Amino acid sequence: MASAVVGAWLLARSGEAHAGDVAKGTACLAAADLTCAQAASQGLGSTAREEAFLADLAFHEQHFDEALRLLKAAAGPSPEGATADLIDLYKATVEATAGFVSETRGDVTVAYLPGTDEVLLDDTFTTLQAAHDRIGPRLGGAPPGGIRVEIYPTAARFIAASGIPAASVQTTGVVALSKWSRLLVTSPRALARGYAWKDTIAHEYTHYIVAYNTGDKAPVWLQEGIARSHEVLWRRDGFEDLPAYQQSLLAGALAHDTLVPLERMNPSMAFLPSAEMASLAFAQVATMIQYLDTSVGADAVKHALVEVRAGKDALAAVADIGAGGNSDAFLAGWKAWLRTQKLVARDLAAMPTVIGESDDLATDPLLAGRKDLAGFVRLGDLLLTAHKPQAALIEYQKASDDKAPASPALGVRLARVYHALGDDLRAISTLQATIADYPEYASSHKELGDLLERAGKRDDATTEYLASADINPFDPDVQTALATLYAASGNAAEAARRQRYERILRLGGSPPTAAPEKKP
Amino acid sequence: MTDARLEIQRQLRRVAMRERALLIVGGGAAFTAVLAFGWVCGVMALNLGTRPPLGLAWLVLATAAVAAGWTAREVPAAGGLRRQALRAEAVRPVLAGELLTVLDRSSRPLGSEVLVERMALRVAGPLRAIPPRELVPTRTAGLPVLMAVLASVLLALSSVLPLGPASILTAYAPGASPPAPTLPVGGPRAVVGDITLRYLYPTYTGLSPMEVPNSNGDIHAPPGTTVEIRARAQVAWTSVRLEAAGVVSPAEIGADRGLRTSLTVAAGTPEDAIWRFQFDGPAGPMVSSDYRILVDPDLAPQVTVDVTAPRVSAAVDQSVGIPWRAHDDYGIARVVLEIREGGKTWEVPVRAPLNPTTDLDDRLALTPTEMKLRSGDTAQIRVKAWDNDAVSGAKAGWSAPIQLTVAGAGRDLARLRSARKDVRDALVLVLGDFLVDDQPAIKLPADGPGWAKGALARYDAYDTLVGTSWSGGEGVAADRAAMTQVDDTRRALFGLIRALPASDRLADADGAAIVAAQGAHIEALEGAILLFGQMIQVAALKDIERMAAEMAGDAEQMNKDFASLNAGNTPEALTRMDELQRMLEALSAAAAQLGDSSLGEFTNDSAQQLQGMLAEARKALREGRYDDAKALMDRVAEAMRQFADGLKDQQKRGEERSEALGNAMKDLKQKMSALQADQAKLQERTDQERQAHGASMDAAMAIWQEIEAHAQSAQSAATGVAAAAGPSGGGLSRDSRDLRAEADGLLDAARSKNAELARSRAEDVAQEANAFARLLVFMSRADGKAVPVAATTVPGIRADAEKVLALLDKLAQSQASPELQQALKKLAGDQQQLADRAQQIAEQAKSVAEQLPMKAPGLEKGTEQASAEGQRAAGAMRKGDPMSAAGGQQSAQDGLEEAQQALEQAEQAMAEMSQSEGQGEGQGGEAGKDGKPQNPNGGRDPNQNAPMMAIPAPEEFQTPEAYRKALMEGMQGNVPDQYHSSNLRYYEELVRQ
Repeated sequence: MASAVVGAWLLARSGEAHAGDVAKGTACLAAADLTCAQAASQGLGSTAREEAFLADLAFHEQHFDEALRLLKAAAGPSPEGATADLIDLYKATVEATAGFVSETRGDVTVAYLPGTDEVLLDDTFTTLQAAHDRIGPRLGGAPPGGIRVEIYPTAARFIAASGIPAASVQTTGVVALSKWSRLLVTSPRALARGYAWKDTIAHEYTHYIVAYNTGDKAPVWLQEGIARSHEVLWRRDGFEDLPAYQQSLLAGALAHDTLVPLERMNPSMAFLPSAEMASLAFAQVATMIQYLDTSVGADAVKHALVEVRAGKDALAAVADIGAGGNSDAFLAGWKAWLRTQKLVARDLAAMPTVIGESDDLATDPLLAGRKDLAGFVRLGDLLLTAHKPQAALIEYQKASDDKAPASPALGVRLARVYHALGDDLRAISTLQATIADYPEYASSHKELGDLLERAGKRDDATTEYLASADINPFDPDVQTALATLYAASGNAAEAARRQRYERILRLGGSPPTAAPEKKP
Repeated sequence: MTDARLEIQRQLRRVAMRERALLIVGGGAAFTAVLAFGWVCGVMALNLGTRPPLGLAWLVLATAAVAAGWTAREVPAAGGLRRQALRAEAVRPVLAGELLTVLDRSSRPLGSEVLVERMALRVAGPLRAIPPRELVPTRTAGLPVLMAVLASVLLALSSVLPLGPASILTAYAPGASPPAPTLPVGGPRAVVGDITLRYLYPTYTGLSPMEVPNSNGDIHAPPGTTVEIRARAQVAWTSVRLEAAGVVSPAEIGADRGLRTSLTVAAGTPEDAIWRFQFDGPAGPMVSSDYRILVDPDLAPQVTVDVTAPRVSAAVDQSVGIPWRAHDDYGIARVVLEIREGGKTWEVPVRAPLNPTTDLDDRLALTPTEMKLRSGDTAQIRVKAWDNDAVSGAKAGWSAPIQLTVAGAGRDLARLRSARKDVRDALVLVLGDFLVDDQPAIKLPADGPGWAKGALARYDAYDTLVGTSWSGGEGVAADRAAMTQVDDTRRALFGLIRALPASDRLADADGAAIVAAQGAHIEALEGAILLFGQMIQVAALKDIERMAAEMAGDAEQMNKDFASLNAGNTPEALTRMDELQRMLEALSAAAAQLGDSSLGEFTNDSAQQLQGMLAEARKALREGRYDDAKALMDRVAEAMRQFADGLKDQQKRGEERSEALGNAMKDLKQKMSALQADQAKLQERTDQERQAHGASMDAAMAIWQEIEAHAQSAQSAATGVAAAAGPSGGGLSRDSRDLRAEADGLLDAARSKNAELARSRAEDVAQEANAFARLLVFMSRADGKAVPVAATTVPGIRADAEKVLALLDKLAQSQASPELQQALKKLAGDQQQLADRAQQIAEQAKSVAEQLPMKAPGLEKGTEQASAEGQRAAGAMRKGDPMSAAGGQQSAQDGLEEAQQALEQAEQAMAEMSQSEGQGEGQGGEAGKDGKPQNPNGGRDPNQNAPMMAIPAPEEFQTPEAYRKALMEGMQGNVPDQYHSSNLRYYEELVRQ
């Protein structure tokens, strides 16, 4: 958007010196090719429009103060319209990144606010480097010029820097963005229960790769299909099953022929009429890409992207690769393949996106909307606290509704009651069932980790704690547990790392003598 | 006394008054003359360069007073009538002897009255003819007046002199030097250079002496400042004086032409005041250039308060918590709170810094009680700060006034909260036991007493609490309603158990009744616990929000106060950290009330994290790692700010939810009201159609009236039977209750003209009555314990039911006229629309009821009834049944009425809860300018369970400066080398104390 605005402005003022370089550089930015834009920028800066282009480039390069200065200089004393909006965005970004420091390792540069977000650093570098190395080649190569990431500590800062309306974050759950050759990510601590932030980073980076390899010509459905299916490949070799909730949506839509048409997904998934439909759409396009990859081979998507870059319609390109150019045949083949998959058919609900701290039941897909059932959960909590586990169990059972989707918050509580009643096996199985339905609910993993650890199953416990930390790395108890387990298993390096995280969390950041210095 | 004699006395009195007046005028004139003359002499002396001694001035004043007294010395005597009579006799010899005789005889009657009267008549005429000015001429005061005029003229003339009459006042003003005559200034000026001014400020300003070399000569200083002037003259003058603000004082001139003098800036120095040198030399006098004297006034302190509204309220024991700030040019000596109430004004001390400071800010930690206010008072309060001006005198500055309304004790609310939590916890334990009871709780009737005894013991803690902490009148309506529900269902359950008939098996019906009673009681317990829990959570959240905001403010302030850390301020920093630590502990305690929620975890985690950071900062401080400590304190402040912001967002969302619920309730209320009105209108139209076309329906109406009468009769009789059977009647009691329930239903159906339902109910009543009659017969045969009243009444109930059935048969045969049926069918569409609206309203009511903090069963029940009955009415109208239609319409309206009442009660309860929990919080709890406390009045909220931690004012733990200096001197005292370290340590400890 920014590039488009600046580009339009530049075109309107063409005819000056270096016009070709500026236009080329702008086109490079629009095509997500930062290196190309940087090359085109050499020797520019003598005219207002060159300054505007340099401002755009600086904005892409994460040099926000410089970008604002250049754009203001280029725009003159009284900017109007789109230029004024752009200045506002730059200003908002400068404010949103106030106090940030940046650190570069390899191809990745991460800007963040010193403090507890420091616990995200190692994994951010690891995730993106792995994504760069593993996902990039599958899609035609990673963009040159490295990866720039900003981790915003609050949703408000993310909203300000991204330009996304606040309501969209709450309703559509957008917490990260790939834009301006950068990745804008909300820290998991800004959400009530965290989120799968590492896969999300990989997801956004995948968007960047796709944009680069298609000259940003891929439609939304293809972008999201590739990103959603590939977001896990930084940590595993093959695709991962969809979350149970999305499987249940897909199964229902297949059975009732209520799939979302691809054309309805434009211009954005966020504009679909409901969050449920958006989830279904994501599930559809992700499985389409999985189908293409599975049925043709690992290079199939890469070849499709080449055709899209060449200007071919995305579905036609995919069908070319996947079904000899017959779109209908491709879609029919995909549906047939889907039916062979063992999709979860249970009635499940989406986890609500809750910004900031709130009542934990507000983050529950069932109880958030069922105050009658939530009341029983609260009663159960009180009874459990009062050491009346049997009575608590009765109240929790009242909170179950066979006709409604399962509740992860209730699952965790039931497990606690079973544990209090001495039935750890049942507690474990309850949690495992909850995790199967809602793997992104960190508390389930933590609770299961506790149980497994007590049962002496240290490896399994470590796996669960890690899963919990992957969603919500800001729980010092989980980091402590991991440090203990790693120490017991002889993994001193990892134990030390977890201890360091725990200390960062307890102290609100690195110890002063080790704290990162703020950038000037 | 006769008229003639009275006339004589009046005449003489007039003369006496004239003489007195002239003597007084003369005295005043003599005073003026002497004073003016003396003044003129003084002015002349000043103009001659001499200030007469002050004693001479006093002598002039004394002389003037003596002259005045002498001139007027005869004023008392002038009032005597004899004096005037003698004077008249002297002027008119014809009166000689007679006038005096008349006067004397008038006051002391003696001799012949007739003779005296004749004498009086004789002298009265001549006396009247004498004008008073002839007896007392004006010249009596002439000389003094003439002298006064002359002297005044001289005084006026003296104003043309260089130093006019006013110069006397200046010359004798305290501390003034004799004014000097202004030397000619129009000519050339003496050249003076190298002016150096050295300012010695008054001690109270705390300013160090300042020297200004190469000055342009202008003096800028606050009053009381002594300015030492050094300069150099171009030529060697023989003498020099300083003229400053018109006053001349000595100056020195050295052999090197160096000039030296000083002046003190007086408080009343005029704006255009100047100073200059006066030189004398062989060529005559000359003055230097003029230099300005610019007084920097020491203004009164500026005081501001940080409130969002000029009105606040607080409970009598609640700290008003208003942030204030005072600033003064040189120092604040003390701060008080000025309170005005009921026409009286008084002050309460607020702060008195040990060492006056130019800026002082704090929060008012006073409660209305400490302000000597009582509940119900409305006072105007102002923060008043006094400066430390020791020259012109201390000046006060005030903040803007704030109106403070004093509410009841916040302690009561804190106690209520505490009691509510205790009661909730006790009820949780009770619930826990009831939940795990068998269903039914007993297997045999004989188990009842044993179970009841044990189950009743479950309430011991609860009953004790209710009897002590919860003294009945406390809490809000919702509290009381919830507890009443608990008590009612408890009584019902145990009453049922006690009423079980002795038997070797528990009847299925009894078992089912026990299970139902258990369920009802559990539901009541759950409702009360949830309600209490919600109120506890709301209160805890408010406490946390308030504490977080305060801590953020305090941490920020602390960071400002300790821009750098060092050994000197370590003790104070540690003290402040201690306070923060205690507040964090209180925060954790409040977080525990939020239960196992994300917010509770967040608060707890944040509190723990902050405590960890504080501990680390303390450690760094103790170890002398000041930079690390400072960095950690910065982090603490930032973390607290973020924490407070997070809670603020949470609060905002909560308020949005409350607002949304409030809007939904308002909307629902409007819809119900509108529907009820529309339903009433449609019923009216239905009635009109019936009246227009339904003459044949008069009979049907009469039948319904008859049905209702029988139903009423059956219901009254059944009520009597149930009462007679009593609660301990075993099976008889149970059956009587069933009979009564069916009779109630029959009456309801008759009133709503629901023929179908009425038939069903009548059949049930008849059946129950038959069964009951059989039971009576059986019991009378068994033990003769049948209830007498039942035996006679039950047949009547059965007869009423049978009569109702017969009337319903008759009703079924009566049909509305075709015209009426047609009209009803036309209206059926409208009724259907109303029924559909009622259905939508019922769904909305369900949604609203789910969000209400307390149950509102009437809301859902009423709207569902409105929907169902509206639907029935529409059906009846389509069938052309006007009676059922009217009944349905009426019943629908009744349902809406019930729902509206339930909603209003819920609104009232919510308002009460909000008022109860928000007391002291809602009065301007918006953000302060600095984003600090969102609490009452921008300050601390007293309505908390958690203790309020007050950061002590610096003077409460700082060592006074004088003491500190003395200690420092002690530290520097001579001691043997081997004791030097010990000496230092000893004094350092003292300083830290």
